[in-house]
Amino acid sequence: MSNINTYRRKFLSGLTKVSASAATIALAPGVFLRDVHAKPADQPVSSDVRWGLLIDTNKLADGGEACVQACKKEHGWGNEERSNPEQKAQWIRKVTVTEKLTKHTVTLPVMCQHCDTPPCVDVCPTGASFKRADGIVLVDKHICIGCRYCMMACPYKARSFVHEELEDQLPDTPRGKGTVESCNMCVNRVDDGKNPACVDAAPQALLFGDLNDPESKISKVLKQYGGTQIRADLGLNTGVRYWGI
Amino acid sequence: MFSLFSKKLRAFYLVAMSGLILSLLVACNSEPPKPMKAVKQFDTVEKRDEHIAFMRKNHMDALKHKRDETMYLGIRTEEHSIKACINCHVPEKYNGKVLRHSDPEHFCSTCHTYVAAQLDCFECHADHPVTIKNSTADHSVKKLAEVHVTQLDNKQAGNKLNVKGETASE
Repeated sequence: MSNINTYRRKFLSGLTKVSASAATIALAPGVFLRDVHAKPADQPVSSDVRWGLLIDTNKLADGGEACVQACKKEHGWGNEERSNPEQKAQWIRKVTVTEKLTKHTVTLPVMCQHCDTPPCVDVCPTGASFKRADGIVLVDKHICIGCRYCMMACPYKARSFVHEELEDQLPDTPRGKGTVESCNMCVNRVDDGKNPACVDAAPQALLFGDLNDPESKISKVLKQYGGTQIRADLGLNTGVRYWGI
Repeated sequence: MFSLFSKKLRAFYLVAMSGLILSLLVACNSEPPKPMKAVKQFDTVEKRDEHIAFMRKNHMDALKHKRDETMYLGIRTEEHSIKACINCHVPEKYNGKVLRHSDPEHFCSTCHTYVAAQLDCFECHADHPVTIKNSTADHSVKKLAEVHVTQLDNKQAGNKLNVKGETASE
């Protein structure tokens, strides 16, 4: 894993950026039309967009409980009856951290951080773990063999394994025994032009948008105030950024 | 060889054999099971027949093709999507209860059981239509982003310095 040639990766990603920028429509010199919201339903996702999330933990009075509940409701996880607590699915969870010296405590919701260079994708032996063109990291459960390498590779503990047979899954969130799953940034909603469920549950603290579009609200506030990545030292360039941690 | 049998026995043997063959023929002539009628019907008979003829032969390929388009490209149109199949072909309730793929009346199971082809889709996918009652109406990304930014702007006036200060202290 450590043998990734970062020069090669940067060079290749630079190439894709050049081709992507060529795809944007120039209305006049220096004026570009970028349509990021609600792509047409029959069009594929494009790498012009990179979806991202900004979470302001100061504005989350409940530490993200509303987000967790909204996620459970949207995707139908968390009611695995025959799994023990360590085995239960956890797409998003609350993590409380305390600074040793000051005892300052912060609670933040942690889920898949939708890395630019996801370690889970690097280790997947079947290609089931993949990153979509618009930056959302997903598991193709049709080809996932349930080996759980990705769970070990993920520094955020974001992935879960389904240990039991399930019934009454939701139409937009197929889940099944023997496959790995994690936050999918509500792809079904995003493709529909909606916000992820957690963002709608706590709109005062969460902001969802296109990180590639300098005119999007999320890009603007991140440019002005910055945003913290969890484990920024790993250089994964996460799509989820935090304030107040 | 027949000379060994008496005439009576020979006649009995012939009758018994022809009866057996007839009954076998009747058994072999069983029609494949008729799957349940779809909840939603096409406007015209021609469209319906065309759909049936295509789907009988190709539904598995169409589903697999669409599955990859949806998974990797985010194309979520109704055409050939398993969700759309289920919404038209399976009723929400059948005889007062939810119809599952384990029931022989389920549209997919009727034939799959008959030809003994294993049906894996519903290990993960919903096997009956689900209407999700959302109390909060869905807002578009744009609308919510606007709401959010006004809130952020309010915050930035006073609260923002706090945020930066706390980040720096850790």
